[in-house]
Amino acid sequence: MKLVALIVFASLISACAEVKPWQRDKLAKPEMTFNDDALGEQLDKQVYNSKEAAHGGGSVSGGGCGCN
Amino acid sequence: MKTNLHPSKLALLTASALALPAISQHLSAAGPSTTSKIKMHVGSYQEEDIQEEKTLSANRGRYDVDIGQFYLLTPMGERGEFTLNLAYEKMSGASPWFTLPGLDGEAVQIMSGATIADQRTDTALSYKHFWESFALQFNTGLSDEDDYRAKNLGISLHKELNKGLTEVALAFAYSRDKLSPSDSELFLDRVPSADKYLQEFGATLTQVINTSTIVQTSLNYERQWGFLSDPYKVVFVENSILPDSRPDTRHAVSWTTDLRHFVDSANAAVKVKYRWFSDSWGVNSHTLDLQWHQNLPGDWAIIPSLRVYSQSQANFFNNTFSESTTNFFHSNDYRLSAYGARSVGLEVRKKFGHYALGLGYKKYRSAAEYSFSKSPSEAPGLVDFSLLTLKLEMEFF
Amino acid sequence: MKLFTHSFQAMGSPCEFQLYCHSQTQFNLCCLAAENEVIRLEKKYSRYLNESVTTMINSAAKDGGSITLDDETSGIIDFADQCYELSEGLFDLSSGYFRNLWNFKSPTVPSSAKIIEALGFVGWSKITWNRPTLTFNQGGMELDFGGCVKEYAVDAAASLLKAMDITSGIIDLGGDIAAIGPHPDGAPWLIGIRHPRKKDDPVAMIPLAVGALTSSGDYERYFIKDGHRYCHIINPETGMPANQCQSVSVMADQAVVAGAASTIAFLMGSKKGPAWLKEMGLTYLMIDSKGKIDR
Repeated sequence: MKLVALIVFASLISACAEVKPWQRDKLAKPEMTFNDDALGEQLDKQVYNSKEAAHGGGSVSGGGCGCN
Repeated sequence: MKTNLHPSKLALLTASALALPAISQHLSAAGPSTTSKIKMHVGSYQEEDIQEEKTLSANRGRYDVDIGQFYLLTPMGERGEFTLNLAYEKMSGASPWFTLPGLDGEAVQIMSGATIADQRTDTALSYKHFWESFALQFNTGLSDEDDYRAKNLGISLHKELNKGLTEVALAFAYSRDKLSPSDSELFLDRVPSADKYLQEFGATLTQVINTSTIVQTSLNYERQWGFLSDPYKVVFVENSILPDSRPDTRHAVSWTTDLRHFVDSANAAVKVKYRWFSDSWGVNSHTLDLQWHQNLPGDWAIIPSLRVYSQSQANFFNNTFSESTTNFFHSNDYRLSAYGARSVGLEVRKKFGHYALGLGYKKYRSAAEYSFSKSPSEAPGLVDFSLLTLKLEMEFF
Repeated sequence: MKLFTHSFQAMGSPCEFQLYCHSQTQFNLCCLAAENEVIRLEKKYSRYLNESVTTMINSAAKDGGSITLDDETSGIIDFADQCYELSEGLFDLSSGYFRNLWNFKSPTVPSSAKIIEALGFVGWSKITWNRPTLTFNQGGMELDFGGCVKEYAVDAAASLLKAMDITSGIIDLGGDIAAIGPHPDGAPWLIGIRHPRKKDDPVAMIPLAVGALTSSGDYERYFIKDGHRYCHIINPETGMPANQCQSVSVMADQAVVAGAASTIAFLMGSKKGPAWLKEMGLTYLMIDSKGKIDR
């Protein structure tokens, strides 16, 4: 699984096209940005971290809870 | 030459000229937000009752949480951006206390008898300052509940490369939590107060692949130390009760990749996010998040999502313990067992000028058979839940 | 670095890009992108195309309704709104109605009665702007973006070319000019200000290194009747063309700002105009009705 993800990722990076600044309109759409649903993701993080052993990944922002 | 007698008038006109999209969009790719945003979410989280055959407790109800969240983002000066995050949770219900070998050999979960009612407030502030091609962000937060207080600090550095097509970021966070378990005077082994510490380091790379695709990948390392056991859980070993006991250090590494792609023909965005996690307690996990954001006429959007999770069990976990299987560390907390979870969600959104409304529903199911790791038996305490969220968001110019 | 020139027709006027580029290929690519952007704006705000934003706005205006605008159009309205306030009502997008009154193809001066009737359909105060919604509080009105779209296109093209790494160049869309940067040796571009009565005889050469220069004049569209010149710049308060100036040229960082300022100063006249421009802190050149120059 990890190997597949690595291969996919590496091939993506090598396929980078030259994107001109005025061509970035699609990338600026809210649904294409990484923190569009920051609040929703924060709640999800809280909910999943309180019942799953894995946590974190993505942005590092600290924050704890009594969800031992 | 030019003498600025009334700079404010010309400045006003120039500012409104610079706000014109075709002029401003070519200015530096990254900069503070030009708009202010306010978001308010309310949510209702409800866990399914524990199944009859999995418990000996008469009361099979689990946790219910009512959630309120508030978010404010505002530009500060020409180069700064300030964010405030507030969350309030009202929790009630019962949670797993310990497991016992059941009549037919399968472990059963005993729930905490009394209904726990608790509130949690979480406050987080962050400030990000932008320069030509790099930015610095500071975060601080406080999470407070009756028996738990967590404080955190974080800093991150962001650098743009390659004409804004690439961004690299380094982040560091520190957290200090203080546990003051309630009713510790009633329970012999319940520790009256303890501290837990966390340090996290992360490196993130964000890369524009083409006009419709962008990917972000992060590598995180985390170190926890202090009191890492669960003060509310015990392990029943034949005739004696031992407190839940976990090592006082934990190291973890995780790698996350998040891809967004816009499908022109469908006017929709697809999100694929994968995280690999591994820690020093023996837990390895995989998480896959899929989401399809479908834009519809009239500023509507429908967003179905799917999440698949799998974890292996911690070294010192067992559903039930006997004298021979008990080591220095032991826990029957289902959260350290080998299991997997699947959740499906659906959100509907509508935009009205400055405002947007959203309604989301998510259903989560966990089971040992969903895990990629083999598990001898399922932890009886695994939980299913549903989450309903109502969102109101506003943007100001 | 060589100087390349490309001429084309857009927005009803002769247009030209003069850019310093490393190669013909780079120049061709830049011109393609910039020209496309100009044409995009021309089509988006054209009064003559059915799918244009202007046509949609004016359909809503005809019946006194409301229309929700996109970000770009909202930005233009915000800018025009700001101009309306700073010009004490002289810069008014609803002046578009006057095309029904003053027709420059047939030299007829409308009667006072017709003018008074027309004034009933003009006035930004009769419109409610609550971004992104534009509401016409009465029917029969008409908006015309002619007073700012050409200048906006100049700024958009300049911004785009800067993003494409052009550091020396000049854009001319029918007399509305923006300099992206001086010649590679630092020398500014020399812009000839057209003499209002003698087409090929510039009245002054203005050095422009960076920034925009636009002009409003009574020689662009006009007719002469009984010895009086009636030009296309109509005062929204009187319904009559402004006649105190022959031309006003203004320099500013953005062409939209220079364009609005030159129109406003032209309407204000030979006394109030210069005072207003000085108050704004803008560099200008004004030629009054008698041919006297003020700068």
